[in-house]
Amino acid sequence: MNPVSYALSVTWKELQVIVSDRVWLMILFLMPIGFGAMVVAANPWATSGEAPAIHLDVGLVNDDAGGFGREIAKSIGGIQELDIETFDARAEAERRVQQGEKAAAIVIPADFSQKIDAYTPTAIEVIVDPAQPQSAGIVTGIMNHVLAEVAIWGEVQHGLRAVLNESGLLAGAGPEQQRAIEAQSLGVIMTRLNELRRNPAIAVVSEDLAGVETQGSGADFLAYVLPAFTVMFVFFVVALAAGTLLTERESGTFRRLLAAPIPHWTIIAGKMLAYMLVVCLQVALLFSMAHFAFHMPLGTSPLALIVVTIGVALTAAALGMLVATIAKTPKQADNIGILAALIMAGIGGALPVSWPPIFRAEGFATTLSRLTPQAHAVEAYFSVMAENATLAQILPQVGILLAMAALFFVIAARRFRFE
Amino acid sequence: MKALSIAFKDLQILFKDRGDMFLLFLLPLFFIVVFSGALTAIGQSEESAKALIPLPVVDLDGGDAARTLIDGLNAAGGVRVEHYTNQAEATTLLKDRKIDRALIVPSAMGSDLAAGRTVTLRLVSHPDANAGQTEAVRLVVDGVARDMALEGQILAALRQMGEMQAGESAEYQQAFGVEKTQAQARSQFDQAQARPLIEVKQTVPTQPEQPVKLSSMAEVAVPGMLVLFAFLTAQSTARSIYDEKKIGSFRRLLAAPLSKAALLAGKMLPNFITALIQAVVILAFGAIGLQLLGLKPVSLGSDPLALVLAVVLIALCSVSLGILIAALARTEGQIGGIGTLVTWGMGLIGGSIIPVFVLDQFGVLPKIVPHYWANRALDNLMIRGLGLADVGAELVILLGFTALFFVVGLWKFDFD
Repeated sequence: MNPVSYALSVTWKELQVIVSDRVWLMILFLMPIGFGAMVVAANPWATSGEAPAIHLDVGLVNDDAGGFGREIAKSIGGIQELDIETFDARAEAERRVQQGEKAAAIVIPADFSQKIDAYTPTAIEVIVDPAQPQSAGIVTGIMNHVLAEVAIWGEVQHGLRAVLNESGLLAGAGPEQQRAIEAQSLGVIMTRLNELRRNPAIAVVSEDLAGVETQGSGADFLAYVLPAFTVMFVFFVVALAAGTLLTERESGTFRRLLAAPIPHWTIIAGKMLAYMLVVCLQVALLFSMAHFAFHMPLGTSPLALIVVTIGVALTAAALGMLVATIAKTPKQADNIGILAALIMAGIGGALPVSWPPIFRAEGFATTLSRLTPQAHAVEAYFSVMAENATLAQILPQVGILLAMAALFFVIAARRFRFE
Repeated sequence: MKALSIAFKDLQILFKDRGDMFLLFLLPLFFIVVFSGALTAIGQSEESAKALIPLPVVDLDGGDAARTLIDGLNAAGGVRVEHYTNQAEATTLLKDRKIDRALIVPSAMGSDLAAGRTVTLRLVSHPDANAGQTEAVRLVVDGVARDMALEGQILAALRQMGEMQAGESAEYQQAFGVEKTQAQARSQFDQAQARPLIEVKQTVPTQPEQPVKLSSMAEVAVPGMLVLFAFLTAQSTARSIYDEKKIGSFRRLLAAPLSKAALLAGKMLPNFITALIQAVVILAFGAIGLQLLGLKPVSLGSDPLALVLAVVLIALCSVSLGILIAALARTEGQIGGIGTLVTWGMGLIGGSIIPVFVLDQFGVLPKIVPHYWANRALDNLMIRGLGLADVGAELVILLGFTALFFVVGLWKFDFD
């Protein structure tokens, strides 16, 4: 039998063993889908490309008897993102926020309208839940928007009064008449102003070189998060590869393979090929799911994606061989493999917890991340998918991946004992 | 007593295994550092954290309006304006991707604004420019443009009102003269910048006068990782039972004058203790260790007794989950696989990795795992600073899960 076909038959046998292990299949294929789907579902803006489809439960306490308080209550009642429940007492609303039942409570103070009328600075209290910083930010942002509108009224009203007072126009008029003049002028100005504001005076459009409007950043987010989870779980194959190899050595089947009249390297090559195929399958499956279900962009160079994937597969398989030479028992191989995958994912930015991605930032963490194959893999995928990089542009990353694979393999080959 | 000696022996075995030690004690700390974003912050200079995005602006207007816009952009923070006057030059740079994007200010901006015609600012980006940065730049430009537009519109409204008064009395016309109203408006624009008429004041419950301290990523990560890793010890419980069964010493233990429940309790105890030690290590790291790394420590809340009780119940729930896994799994590989899948999967849907409040949108799903209730209890105690009375329901539910796992585990457990 020639060595190549022997290696291929080793690959085939290894694949059959892997496929029969349903639990490992779930870890390699279902868990990354689960992680990715949860993170995407938690960030719905990324796929819809629109404003966040969120609903926050918010309490409202309006202690103000005046018109401005009423106006604010009305406008926040019309905001889609907020489900408003009105409370009579501040204490009750506060208790609901404290219990985590409401994301926030908006309290309009008793003298709110009075203070705006007197042109004295005032504030609306937003009671927030310290455990929900994002929600706190959203509600506060919405309130800033709503209050800006009310502030315009307050400012215009004050300006008008100042002008009227200075002019002496109101000198002879009684309080009733003064108010009437003021209200009439305010009405005229605000009507004019609102008509003017209906058309944006300055519009900002974001477009590409051809003048086509550009997409939002959701695609970027997906092109980081989903490949990152994929890369993280791809390296779990290290534990599987090392574990199987050691189990085989323990049970003595290895010795039997060695007795066959073929070069020893064919066994290792055959096994590595099997795990490389598993990785390629993982990437293909996860990326197509991410593309079709979540609209993850794939970039413009399928060739680049394929080359990166082969580089990642080779690195993971070689690392599996290396772990097999370090561990003494299959259980140890399992532990070391999983730990290595998790820790390298954490250092390498394949656990997508921060934005911008670690490889697009600067500092110690970024330097550290460059020591892991994960960082280069995630960066290469991101460049291709989010920035339409071509194969030539990601060659540095691919080169580093291949160098790491070679390093792992050489160390493993020197240390490996077949018996 | 006998249960205790079984426990002691098991602990000795466990602490011999360095891989397990690492997994149980060091990995959670590493995860906390990663999840709190601390890793990214180490060694990052203040400037690079607040790095301004360069924004080439092609000023075809060259007048006051464009200058106001550019000053506004520089003052807004986030971007640093680079001035260009030649559109062809900027377009060439953009095509060669020497610059990522450019903001084009049209030639008649000033006069168009004055005449009430809509002015369009075009933010042109190279197709491969980072879309996230483009969006951030667009938001900054949008904000500055909106403020500018509003001021212009207020002035225009005042002017129109002045024109409408042409037929009014001379007195009235004088009072609302264009100069007077515009001067008043401009003084108010300046004042509003420095002293807004209406502000939003954020407070947290029960401490209306305290400055608001929202939870940091570390404060979310510490309880989350405590729960995730406490439940990972379930795998060790299952594995130690399996190991003993495999080498047959379990059968020998069964022969000893010991009830089956006492036997199982003895097997649970060491991992219960391990989970407790683990929790103490994680909490100590949150309260002290983070400080040593130069980060802000995590608050342990105001009710230490309730925190201790919650941690004890979480550890208890974890070991009974271990009994259940040992009862359901048939081989060592299954314990490793099923254990990993169950414990990490539950952690994911139970709010250890994605915060609990985000999960509430998934309806009932997160609530079917004990992790959800454990995380809620710890969030209430540690982040919200509540007391025992406010986590009663969560703790009772955790106890319910514990009982359920133990009973089903005992029922399915194959003692031989």
